[in-house]
Amino acid sequence: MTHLTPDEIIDAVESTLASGRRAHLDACEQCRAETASVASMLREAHAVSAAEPSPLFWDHFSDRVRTAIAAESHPSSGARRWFEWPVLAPLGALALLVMALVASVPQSVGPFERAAGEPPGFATEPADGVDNEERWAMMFDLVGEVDFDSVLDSGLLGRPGTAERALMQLTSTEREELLRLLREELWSGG
Amino acid sequence: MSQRSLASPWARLGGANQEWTVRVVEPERDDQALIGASLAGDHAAFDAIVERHRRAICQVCFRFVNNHEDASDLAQETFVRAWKGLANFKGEAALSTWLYRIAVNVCLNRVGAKRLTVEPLESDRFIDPSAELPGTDLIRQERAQAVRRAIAVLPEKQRATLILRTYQEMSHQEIADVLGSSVGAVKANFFHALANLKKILGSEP
Repeated sequence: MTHLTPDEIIDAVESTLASGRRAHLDACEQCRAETASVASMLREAHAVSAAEPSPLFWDHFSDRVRTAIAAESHPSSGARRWFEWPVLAPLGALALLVMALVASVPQSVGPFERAAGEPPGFATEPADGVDNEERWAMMFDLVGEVDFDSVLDSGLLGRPGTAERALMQLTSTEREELLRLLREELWSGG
Repeated sequence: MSQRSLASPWARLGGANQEWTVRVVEPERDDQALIGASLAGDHAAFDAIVERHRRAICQVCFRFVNNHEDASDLAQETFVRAWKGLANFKGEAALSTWLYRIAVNVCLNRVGAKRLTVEPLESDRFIDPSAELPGTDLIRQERAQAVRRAIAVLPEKQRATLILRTYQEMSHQEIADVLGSSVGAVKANFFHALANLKKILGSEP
């Protein structure tokens, strides 16, 4: 008769061996020795204790998990992250700044004359002969491969809420002054 | 007559002359209900899941790394991954089985990536001066450390099987569900784990 297989030896150790194979075990010295060896190793492994943490540990642990989950926020894809407020707010501020800078740059004399009555700084036709599609294509060429994490690491984006916090800290006089400067920048180009 | 709003856990009981306000204990929600509530944005429900399973998960992580600091980090990572993947939990296995599966994967990945320090246990650190046979106690502690070291060098599946069977006392079927294998394979792995332990310990000086 064949000797016990590894899983049958485990069954023998755990006293669940089928009765037909039990007869073999009783008769086979080699299988009995192997079963005894495995059983003694199991007893020794089982006896290795693990210290139980203090009751305080558990509250601390739950707090840690809660904090870690809050830090993760709701999981979202890389693309969706671009449309979340912590990203949109600084980007919006950046866009305003770019618009203000563009408006403040003196327009070079070009082939297109500004129409009478048209607000300065917002020429309907590009002064350098480059149309908007080409400008956007250039922008995409420059930043198309840049991912969100790289932008974040480079420091171009502030921490979420930084712009809002900075605005909230301004006094009413400072806010009025900021508004005046922005208006001045927006409408004084030319 | 009982008057209780849905939001309040307190109820007012009693007749015209006597009235008591008693705390109404909410029936404990099962794992499936907690999962549903967690997915609906109820953070307290996920807290309840953590509270219910944290001890078992921390224990299994501890058995993989043998120190509380790393075990705590691994258990935390297990629950964070569970929270992130909760929508993918189909309920085909028990929540505990799914959590064990994540914990085992987290532990095996981390242990493979980083050499972890084995911290002596409290019982190993302090020797009871009143013990009748301090020499025997010391030998027992040294042997326990040797067993931990030997478990740490077992092949991954054997180590996971040994830990789940010996220390978590899971059935072979439960272990098979956690490891994604058959009951026969679990028993074979368990046998080889114990045989290898014997071999490793036998070759130690």
